[in-house]
Amino acid sequence: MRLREYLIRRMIQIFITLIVVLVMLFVIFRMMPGDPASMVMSPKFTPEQRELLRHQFGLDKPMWEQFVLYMKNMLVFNLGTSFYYSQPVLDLIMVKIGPTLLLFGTAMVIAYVLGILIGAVMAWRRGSKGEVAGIAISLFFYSMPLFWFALIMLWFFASEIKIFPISGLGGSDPNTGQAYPFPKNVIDILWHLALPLLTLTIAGLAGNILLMRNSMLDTLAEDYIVTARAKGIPDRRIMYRHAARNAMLPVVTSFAMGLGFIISGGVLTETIFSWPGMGTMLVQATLNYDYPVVQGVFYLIAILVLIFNAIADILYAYLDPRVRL
Amino acid sequence: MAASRFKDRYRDFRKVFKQNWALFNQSKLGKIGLYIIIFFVIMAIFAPVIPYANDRNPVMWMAPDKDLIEIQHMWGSPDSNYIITVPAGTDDNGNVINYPVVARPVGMLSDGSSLNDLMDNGAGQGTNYLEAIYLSTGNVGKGVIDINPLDGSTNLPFIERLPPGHYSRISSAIPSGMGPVNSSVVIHELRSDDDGAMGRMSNIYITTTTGNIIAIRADQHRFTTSGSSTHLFPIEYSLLWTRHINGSISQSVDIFYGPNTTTGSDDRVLVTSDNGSLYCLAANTGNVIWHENLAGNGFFSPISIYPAHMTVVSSSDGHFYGLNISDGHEIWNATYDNEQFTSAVVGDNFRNNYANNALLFAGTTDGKIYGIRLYGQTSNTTENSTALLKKAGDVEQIIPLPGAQGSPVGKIFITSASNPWLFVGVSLYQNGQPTGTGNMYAIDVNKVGVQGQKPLIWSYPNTVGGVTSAPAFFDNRYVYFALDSGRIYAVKISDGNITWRATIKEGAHMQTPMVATAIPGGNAQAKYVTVAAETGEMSQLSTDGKYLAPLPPTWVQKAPSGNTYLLGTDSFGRDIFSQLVWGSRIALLVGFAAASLSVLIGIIIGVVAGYFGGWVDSVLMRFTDVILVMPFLPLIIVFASVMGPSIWNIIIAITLVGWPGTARIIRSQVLSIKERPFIDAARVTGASNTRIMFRHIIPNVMPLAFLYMTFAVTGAILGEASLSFLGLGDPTTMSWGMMLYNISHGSGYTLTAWWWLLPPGLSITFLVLGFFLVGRAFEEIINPRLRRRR
Repeated sequence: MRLREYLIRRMIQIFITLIVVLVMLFVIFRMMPGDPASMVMSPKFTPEQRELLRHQFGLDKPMWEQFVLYMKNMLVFNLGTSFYYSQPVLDLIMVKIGPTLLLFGTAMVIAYVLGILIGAVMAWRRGSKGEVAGIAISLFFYSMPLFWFALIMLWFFASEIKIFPISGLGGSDPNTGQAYPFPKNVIDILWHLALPLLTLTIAGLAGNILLMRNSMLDTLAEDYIVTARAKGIPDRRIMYRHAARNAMLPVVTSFAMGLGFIISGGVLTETIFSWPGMGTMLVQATLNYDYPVVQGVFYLIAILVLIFNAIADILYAYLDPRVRL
Repeated sequence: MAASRFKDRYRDFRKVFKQNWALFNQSKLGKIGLYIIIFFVIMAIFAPVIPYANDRNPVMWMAPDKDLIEIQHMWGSPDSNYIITVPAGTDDNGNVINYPVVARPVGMLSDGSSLNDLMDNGAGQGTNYLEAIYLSTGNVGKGVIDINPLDGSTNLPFIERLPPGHYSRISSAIPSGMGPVNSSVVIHELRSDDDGAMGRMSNIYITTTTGNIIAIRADQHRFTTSGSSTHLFPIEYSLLWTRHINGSISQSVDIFYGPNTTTGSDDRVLVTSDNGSLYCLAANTGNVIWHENLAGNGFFSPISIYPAHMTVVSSSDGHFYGLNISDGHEIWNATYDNEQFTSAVVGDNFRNNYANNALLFAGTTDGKIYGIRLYGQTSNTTENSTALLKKAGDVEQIIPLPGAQGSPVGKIFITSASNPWLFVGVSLYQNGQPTGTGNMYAIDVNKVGVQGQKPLIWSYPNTVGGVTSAPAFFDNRYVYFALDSGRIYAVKISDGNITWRATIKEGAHMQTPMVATAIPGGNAQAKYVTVAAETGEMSQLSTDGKYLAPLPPTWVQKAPSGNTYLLGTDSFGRDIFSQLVWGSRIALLVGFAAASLSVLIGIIIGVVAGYFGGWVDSVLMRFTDVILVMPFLPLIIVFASVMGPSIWNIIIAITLVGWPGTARIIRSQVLSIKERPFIDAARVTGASNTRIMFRHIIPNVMPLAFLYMTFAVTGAILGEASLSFLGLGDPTTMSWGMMLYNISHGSGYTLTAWWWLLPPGLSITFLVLGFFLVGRAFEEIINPRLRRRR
């Protein structure tokens, strides 16, 4: 009952936020330099042709009418047509979303699982030399610009010892462009995936280790841990059954919140590894002033982030009964 | 009273500071972080007085050519024995004057043909070698010299020739009183004038600013003795004809080779005066075949379109004409008078095939290239409803050259080889003033006007001179750009990276270089490049020079000039250590400025929202949510690309995206503070809302704000680095992100130059780490519960 009420309230909130997001996107992209239509128009067009195009894009209407039309279209996910590729934005996104989910989804899952384990162990062995070294390394990687780390990985693994390819998605013969047959294409894609995956996992791991360690330290100071010890429960059991499970809560919610941002990905990481995903597309679209694409991607990200934030909150309340919705 | 109050304050502050410092001191990591920050702050403050970094301006400074270039001057080098400076002569009145060189060198091959043909076709002709180089000079009347192009080492026993670099006899064939010679000399090959055994003949055309066209006959006798051995005599020059037309001529003539290829009798010479008098002359006699007056001003040289039997002529004020070569009948015309054009149109595919998509290209004064249809489109091939039937003269595509807005495009050079590319240089202008820098571009002609294709292949930014003359091209290795600063650059065609460069005469305007194989039996690879400065210096260089930058650190490998490069140089030859030192200023500036601004906004919004509650809170928090649900980096990228590249715009962009996190935290803090008794007390005593917020609430959220500022600094530093890395940084400053941008974009050295890749990234990491550690130590002071974590 309470959950239903909460959900309704939350839905309304999400909807309002989305409306504000749409208004803001409208304003930002009308602020951008130049007439959006001038991107697709060339001087070879006659005035009638220009008018037709402006009409097609709805740019000949007064601003408020454009706004109403825009809101209508966005709310039914009619994201418009890319200026640059002359293709529906939604189709473009569908093509690019696969590689991004593959790369970032995998990296995120690995980084969280390993981060929780390593963070828990580090908190348990607080004060040991291994823990100090672990913290120092984690902090170092946490402070590192991800794109530079990606360059270093490329330099070392792709150029110095040459065990991974420099760029691309793989799956087809680079010379002929022909797709490989079944087992080979998967292997090739995995081979291309390895380096960006390693980069993202290491970079994500640092933050998760620190988060898990801090949370674990808080939990270890709780009274019930002392009680458990007093009862003579083995350390290992306390660590995993009693402490880590509770300490995981903030990490799990941060995972759920992070899911929303998966789409925008490490825009720079994708660019560096020439990974044909959403991040690369977003950067290219911005640099090309391809507003419909940027607008559409931002809109989708906003929806996902809002939904996953709500899920994170509900999950948190479910996992930790002390928290009420 | 005021003084004692100040004293009280001071004492309070000292007490608080001492307490907190004691707490901070307990955190070892926090202290390490503080030391790191202090290290970089000292670096930033003392950047201008570090003697080593100071005289190496990170944006402009470049290692001397001695360290960067390995090149062989064939002759004409300032430090070789083959110095060529076009010497002084006498004018019609017997006064001695110096000849300023106004034209590009033009080569004539031993078969009498012009080297230009070779360059257009992009391939060398096997056994022909360079016989003479012509260079027009600005002198009154006698203004063309010819130069023996070969260096002394070439062994050609069967040729009677003058010593290398000798200039000679063509001037004596030019009659007196013709006026100042301009632009380029044009060689007209008279193919197979005889059977080839007895000699070769060419015409050479010279134009003057007073409206004269002078035709000189270049005659070379030779005997073929036994076998293939040939005996050649030096070329003899004689006046063929002169013609005077109305108006001044500042461009060279164009030759149209007629269908009769044996005698040159139906070859035509086309010439325009600046104000639009277009003349078609018979090449052998100079007789006027036809003549048209065209509307427009500032006309450029005509070009010949063979398959259409057409000559195309254009003016700087945007008039374009296509005329029938036989009678001057107008086939098409087009006017783009909202643009100013900088040089004559160039065309593609015009020699061999009547391509439906053949285009003409013309550069404008504000950094664009017009691709103009040469022929009408006969059928509507695209299904797109917006496609039109295109006419000749219609614009197919306007190609904006990135980074060249408002700057005049130099002369365009197009290769007509199987893969037609355009090469063009630009002189960069800012507020109407030349900046002394320029960019070089390569454009794939096949991609112009094709939807979804980007014609630009590469661009090479250079900081040492604009590029107004046309680039030169010979084989598929390099394209040669002559700069307005007296330099020549050989740029690799495949990726736009510089391969070598040489300085001919510092600060002198240069003309389009001439490239030649120039040796008997030479293959299609260019051997020499010849280039002249407008002040008269001329040089011939071997094309196989090497560019050595990025130079490794001096402690790895010594530099020939004796300079010390602590961390080596980048691919432009700029010192990395200086860049690193100066980059710390940008990082700290952006970090502190953006963090303070965003925390300031965060405090104001958070306090107002938290204190007033109700609809104010709802509105402000929805707004905050909106920015929070957007991905951080892409949003900064959008803002930065809207506002344009400058360091302050970057700061503003990071601020706009950075404040909501702080606002939320501050708001929740305010929610708890405003319920405390002392706020009620203040309200009861009649304090206004403003007073309560500023005197009672804000001081209580300051520690938290300060904490979030240290974290905001890390975000801002990383944000600036990421923006610069994407090329949205401020090009007039050097930041660490910019260094990483330079190494990874178009330099091709990412994966080799570790001395360039490591320092900026490590600097960012350590500075961010410093702030992060300090932030954590602060956090422990503010939130004592965290202290047990240690």
